[in-house]
Amino acid sequence: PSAATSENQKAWSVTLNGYDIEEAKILHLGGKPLNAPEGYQNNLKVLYSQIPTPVSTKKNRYIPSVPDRILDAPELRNDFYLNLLDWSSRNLLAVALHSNLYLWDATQGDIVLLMKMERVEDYICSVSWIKEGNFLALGTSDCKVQLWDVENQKRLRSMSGHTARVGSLSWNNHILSSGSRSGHIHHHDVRVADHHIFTLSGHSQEVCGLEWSPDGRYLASGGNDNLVYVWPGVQEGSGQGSNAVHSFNEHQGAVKALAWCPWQPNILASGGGTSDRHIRIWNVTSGSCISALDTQSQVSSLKFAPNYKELVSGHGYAHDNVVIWKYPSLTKVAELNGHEGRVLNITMSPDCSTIATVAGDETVRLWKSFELDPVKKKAKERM
Amino acid sequence: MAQVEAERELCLENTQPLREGLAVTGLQLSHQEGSCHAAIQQQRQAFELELRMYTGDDPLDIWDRYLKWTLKTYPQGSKESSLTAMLERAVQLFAHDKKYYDDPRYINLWINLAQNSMEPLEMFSYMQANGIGLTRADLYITWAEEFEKHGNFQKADAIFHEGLECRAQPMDKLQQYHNGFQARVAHQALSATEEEPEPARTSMVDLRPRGRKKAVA
Amino acid sequence: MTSTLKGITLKGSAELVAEFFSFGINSILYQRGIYPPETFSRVTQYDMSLQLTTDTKLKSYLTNVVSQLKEWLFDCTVQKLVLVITCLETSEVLERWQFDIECDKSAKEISAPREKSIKSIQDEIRSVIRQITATVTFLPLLETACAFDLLVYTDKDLEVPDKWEESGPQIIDQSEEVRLRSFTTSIHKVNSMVTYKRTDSA
Repeated sequence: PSAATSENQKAWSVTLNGYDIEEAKILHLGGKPLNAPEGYQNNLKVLYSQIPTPVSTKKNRYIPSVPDRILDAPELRNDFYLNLLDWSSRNLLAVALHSNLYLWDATQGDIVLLMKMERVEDYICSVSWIKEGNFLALGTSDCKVQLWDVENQKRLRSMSGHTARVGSLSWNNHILSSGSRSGHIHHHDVRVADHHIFTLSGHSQEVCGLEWSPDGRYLASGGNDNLVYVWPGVQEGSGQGSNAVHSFNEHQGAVKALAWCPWQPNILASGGGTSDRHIRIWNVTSGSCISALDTQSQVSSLKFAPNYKELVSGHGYAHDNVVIWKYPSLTKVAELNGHEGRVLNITMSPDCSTIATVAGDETVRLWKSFELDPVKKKAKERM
Repeated sequence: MAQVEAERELCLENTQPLREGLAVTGLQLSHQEGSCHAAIQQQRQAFELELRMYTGDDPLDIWDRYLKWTLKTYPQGSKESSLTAMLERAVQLFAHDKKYYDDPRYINLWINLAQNSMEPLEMFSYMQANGIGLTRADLYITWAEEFEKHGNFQKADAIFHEGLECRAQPMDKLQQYHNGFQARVAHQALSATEEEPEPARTSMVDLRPRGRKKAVA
Repeated sequence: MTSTLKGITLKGSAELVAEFFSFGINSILYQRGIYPPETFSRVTQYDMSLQLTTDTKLKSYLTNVVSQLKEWLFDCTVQKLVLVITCLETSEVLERWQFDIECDKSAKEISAPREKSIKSIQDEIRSVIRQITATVTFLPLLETACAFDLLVYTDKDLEVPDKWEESGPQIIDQSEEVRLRSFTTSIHKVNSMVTYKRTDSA
C-alpha cells in the first residue's frame, strides 16, 4: 500500500477507535467497572424537573398564594447577570426594560418613563436607589454609571471608567460601588468631580452581585467566577480597603444572590447558580459558613424579611419560583408560584410588607407576604 | 467539534439545562446582540418558508427539525422562542393524520407541549383518549414522571403498567424507567422514617385560618 | 529564593498531574451524580472548594489507579486517561471524559527544572475543573444507574503490571464532543474533552 493509503488507514483508525491502534495499549484495572451502592438514583433530576419539596405544615400566618398585583414588563432582558429592579424608600419601584427606565409609584399606581438610552443597541444592566430615595443610579452596557435626580427627572452625572458593562450597584451613603463584567469593582464618590476613588480587583469574571452591609462596614461581592468576596468599608483619605477581608469559594456556580441580615449585621446570605443551587449563611466576623441549604434550583436573588425574621429566595431553573424560609432554621415557610419564567430579582417595599419579583416571563409581581398583624403593627409604631 | 469558548463561559447561568443535553455544535445564544439576532431570524424564516413550500410526503420532518432548532437556539427558554405557539401549531396540524399517531417525532412534539403547559396531566390524558402515542414508551415515562413529581406514586405506577400492557416501544427502556421509579419510591419510603421533627414555631396573635385561593394562570 | 520554588521537575510534574486527575475524577463523579452526594466531603484545593469521595471502596480504587498513573507519568509512557460512564444495566457507553497527555520526553534526560510556577499551573488546573463543574448545564441527564471505568492509554511496549488488563476504547457512536480547556506543567500537557451520547429524542 502507498504511503497515502496507510495515512488514510491511520486516520480511519483514529476516528473509529479514538486512537491509533499501532501506537498505544489500552489498560484498565482488572475487574468490573465500579458503581454506586445499589438503589442509588442520580439526584440531578432536580435540575430538569420541578419536584415539589414539602412546605412546613404549621403556618404561623396566612400567606397569599397569588400575587397582589402583576405588572407587565415587556422587553425585559432575560439575563441572569443583570439587576433590573429596585424599590426606593419613597415607594417608587424602578424597573429597567432594555433601554428604558420606568418608575412605578406604588402609592399612586402611576408609571413614569424616567429615561431612555440614546443608542438603541445599549441597555440598562443595573439599577439602585440611594437610601434617601431621591437619587437613582444606573449601570449600562456602554460601561457607564449614571446618576439621576428623580424628582426633577434630570441626569446629574454620567461616570465612566469601567471597561465592560456594569451589572451591579450598591450604595453606602455618598459612595456608590459598581461591579462590571470585567471583574472590577469601582467606588465612586458621587459628590466630587474626580468620582472614581478606588478599584477592587479580585473577581476574574463578571461581578453580578454587590451589596453593602447596612452598617456600611463591609461590601459583599459575588461573581461568575463562583467567588464571594467581603471587602472592608471605605476609609476617607486612605488607601485602606485594597484587600478582601474574606474570600469564600464554597459555591460551585455563579453568585448573584447576596443579602445582609438587617437585624444581625455580621450575617451574610449568598446563593449559587445552576451547578451549585445552595444558599449559604456566613458569619463575616469569623469568616465561617454557618449553614448551607440545597435549594435544588438556580438561586438568583435573596432578601431578608425583617417582619417575621425570614429569608426569601428567588429561583431560576428549574423551579422558577420564590421561596420563603424561616431564619435561622431555614425551614420552608411558603412557596410563591406563578411566574412562568425564571425569577431574576427580588426587591422589598419600604414597609417590608411586600416583595416585588421580576422574571423571564416579562412580568413584575407583587406579593404581600409579610404584612404585620394589626396588634404587632401598632406595637411597632409606638416604638 | 465544539469548544466551550470564553463567550459561552461568560453566560453559563443563562443556559437552561436540557434533559437530553444541548447540541453544543453550532450552539448559538440568542441573547447575543446584533448580527446574531438577525441570523436567528433568518433561520426561523427559513423554517417557515420550508413549511409553506413543502410538497413531499413527510411534512413532520420539518417540524421535528424546527423543534430541535428552537430548543438549541433558545437555551434560556425565553418567551422570544415562541416554543409553545410553535408546538401548538404542529400538533394541531397533524391532529387528523393518523399515520403520525405512533410516530416518535409526533409524540415528542406532544410531550414537549405538555411539559410547557400548565396542565401536563390533562394533556397526557387527552393523548391517551385520542389514541396518540399509545405504543410509545416515552408517553408513559413522561406521564408517570409527572405523577411522581406530584407525589402520586400509585398513579405513576399505574401508568407504567398501562404502558407495559400496551407493549409500548422500546419495551426495555420502559422497563428500565419503571425499575428506576420503583427504586426511588423504595428509597423515599426508607428515608421518610428518618425525618427529624420540626422545631417549634411561635404562633401569632389573631390568627384565623382562611381558605387558600387557588393560583390562576 | 529557596530551592522549593525553583520550577518544575519531571517528578514534580508527574505529581501535579496525578493530583489533578484525582481531584478531576472526584469532581466528575460528584457533579454527574454517579455517586450519591452524601458520600462526598468538601475540601479546599486550588483555591476552590471541591468534593472528595468518602466511599472506602471507591477511594482505594482511585488511589490504586492514580499512584500507578503517577509512575507512568514519571516514565512518560502514558498517552491518555479516559473516564468512561456506562449504563449499569446495558453497559452502553453514555459519556466519555478524555484527557490527552503530551509528555515532553526530553525531561527524562535533562533534569534541570523548567521555569513555570506551581501557582500558574494550579491556576490553569482550576479553570479546567471549573469547566468540569459547569458542564452540568449542557450534558444530558444520566437517567439510569451508571457505572464507571478508567482507561489508561500507554505506550505500546509497556509491560502490563499486575492486576491491570487490556481493554477496548469504549467509544460512543453518534456523539457530541466538547473540548474543555487544557493546562501544561511545561513537561506534561493535558487536553480535556467530554463526549456524550446524542439523544435525538425518539
